[in-house]
Amino acid sequence: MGEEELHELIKGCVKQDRKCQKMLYKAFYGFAMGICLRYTNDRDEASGVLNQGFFKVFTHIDSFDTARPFKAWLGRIMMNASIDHYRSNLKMAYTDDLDKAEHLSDGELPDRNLNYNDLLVMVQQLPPAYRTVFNLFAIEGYSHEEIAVMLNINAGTSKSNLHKARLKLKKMILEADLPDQNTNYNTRTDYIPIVAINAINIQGVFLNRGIRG
Amino acid sequence: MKNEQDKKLDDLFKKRLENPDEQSGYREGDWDALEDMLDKRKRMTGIVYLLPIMSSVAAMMLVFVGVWFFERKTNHIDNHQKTQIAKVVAPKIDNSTLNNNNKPGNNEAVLPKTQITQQQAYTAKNTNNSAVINTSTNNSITTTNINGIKKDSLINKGSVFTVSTLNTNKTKDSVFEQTYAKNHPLYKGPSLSPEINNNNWLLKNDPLIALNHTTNVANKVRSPVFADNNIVNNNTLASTPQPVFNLPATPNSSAVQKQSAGNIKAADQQMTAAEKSNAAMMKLLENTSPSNNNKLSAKTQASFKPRFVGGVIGASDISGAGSFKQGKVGSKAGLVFAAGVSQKFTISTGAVYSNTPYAAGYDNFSLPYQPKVAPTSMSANCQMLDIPINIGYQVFNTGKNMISIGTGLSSYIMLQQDYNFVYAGSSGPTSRDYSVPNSASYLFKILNLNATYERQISSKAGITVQPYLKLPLADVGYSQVKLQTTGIAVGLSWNLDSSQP
Repeated sequence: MGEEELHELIKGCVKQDRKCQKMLYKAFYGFAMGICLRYTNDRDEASGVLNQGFFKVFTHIDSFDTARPFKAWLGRIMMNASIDHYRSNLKMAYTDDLDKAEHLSDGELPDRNLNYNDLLVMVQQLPPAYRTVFNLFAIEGYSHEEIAVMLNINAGTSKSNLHKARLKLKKMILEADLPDQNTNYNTRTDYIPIVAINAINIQGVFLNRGIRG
Repeated sequence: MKNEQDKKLDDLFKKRLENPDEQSGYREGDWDALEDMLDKRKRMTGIVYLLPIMSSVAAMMLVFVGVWFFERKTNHIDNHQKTQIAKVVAPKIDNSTLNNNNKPGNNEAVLPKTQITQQQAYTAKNTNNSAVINTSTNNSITTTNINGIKKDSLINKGSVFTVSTLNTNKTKDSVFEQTYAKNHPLYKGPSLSPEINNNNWLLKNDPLIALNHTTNVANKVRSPVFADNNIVNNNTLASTPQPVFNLPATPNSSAVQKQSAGNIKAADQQMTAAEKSNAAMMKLLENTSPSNNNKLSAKTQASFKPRFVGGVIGASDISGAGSFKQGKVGSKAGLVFAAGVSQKFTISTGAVYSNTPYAAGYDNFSLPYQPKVAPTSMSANCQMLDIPINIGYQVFNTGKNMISIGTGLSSYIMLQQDYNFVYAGSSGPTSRDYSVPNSASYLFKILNLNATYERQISSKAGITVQPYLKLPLADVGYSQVKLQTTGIAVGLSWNLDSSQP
């Protein structure tokens, strides 16, 4: 899409022209979905976040500075929508098998050509708190201090969550490299990452496993 | 080494995930969901834009209710004044009156404004017949409608009878009325004693009264008409015996008794009771002196006229959930509109934008879902529209200074609700922010109590100071708190009624 065409679409969106909105939506659907998928568990959840993001885009598009790149603005809105979604779902707690992960060695990562979908599924399998910090730090490039402000957590918690996220990802990569296990991350039938904790141990998990700790 | 490994891992994910080989395919269902969200917002936006209009409509309705209330009161005053006049023509009652339904609203006797300032006091509606007293320079009275005369006079008398029995004033007139009621033909029969009189309206030898005895039934002119003696005699009195008004001698009814029955009879042998009553009415009109006018005018001036006031207010207040222990200071600003529906009562409404922060422990709020981990406390900041409907009662008024007390109900329309929930934990408290995405309305959930001091600074403008207390009748907001607020509002009021300073 050329710059001129994009600006015309944006002008139409400012006027709340539904056709222009749909064209813009379709044009940037893949890009925006790519961001949302990294912050969510699956495609359906990502679609909800994506629509929240586009809703903000269409309701605040009059504040967009056309001198700046639209894609960056849209990406930031999608990221913020993902963070909002994460914060609004904090009442869900997550279990993980980090004990095993902590025993992993810091050996070399297997030199295996993992494709986009493999890596995306790995990230999606991370608990939301780890996943969000990993996304913000490793992919978006924010510092722990910035992440702490964005997620309303301590910088130490951010570091801890990042460390745990990395350990888990390494474990997943190693498991993917084992020929006998034949792990297929795309099917996602053998791993249920989200479990609502019962009320007895929720505080321990909530605080010690780094969701808000 | 470890850092390098981490960096390698990060780069691996960054490179692949930032620029995906293949992008997720577009799904039409996702767009449909977004379109629904956009449509819903459009409707909500429409409602928000309609809010001022809805408030205006509500205010207008209040005004109409106030005017209607005022009109009823005015009619009541008119009826009261009407009876004062109607009793003058009371002697015209004949027996046929007894068969008439007494409806004061059916009275009809229109007086020219030059004679009586309280024209409306003498005015009533009778769709079929009209009778107008004309006391112009020639004092001529013509007839256009015999039945009208008869009917009118009967109705007038009927109303007198009704009211006089209700009047409890111990004045000369009231004594007359009571006596009149007691001696009404309903009780005494048809024996004639036409000596109804008063100091001011003696019929005998009065040069000002010139009764027109012309019988002109064919006269179709709808000119001012009051009575025609001959017609009355021929058409009404011939078949109907005249009533008796034999007033007993009481100390307070000296005016009535000043003229003895014998004297009256001697002076007016040719005059029927109807003639005398008509003449008496004429005399009354002649003698509607300035003092009498003033008396009536004074009554009218004393009667209330509705007063409409608009204004702006700003307020600072403290809000708390359940108590003011954790109260936080908020602010309000908005428009108010008030309508005085009587001399003492005022109905007011408005739209006040309110910024209301407050804090509460978990015992004072709850969440719309059952949380797995209950927060220990929360702090909130709500942006809302407060739409009050209050009624005020004036307790003190010295012209420039006025104090009133009021009560009413408020509706809150939550525009934005931001919460910060605090959770307890072994490693210290943690918090979570939450913003309620949608607006919500809580209608008539708040009780208003206030006192208002108003000082007029000019003929149009005034300043108001209003301490107020808002008490919850039900839970409001996402966190379902019993939100109570107290504060003080300062405002500038402006009299909207151009006819009244």
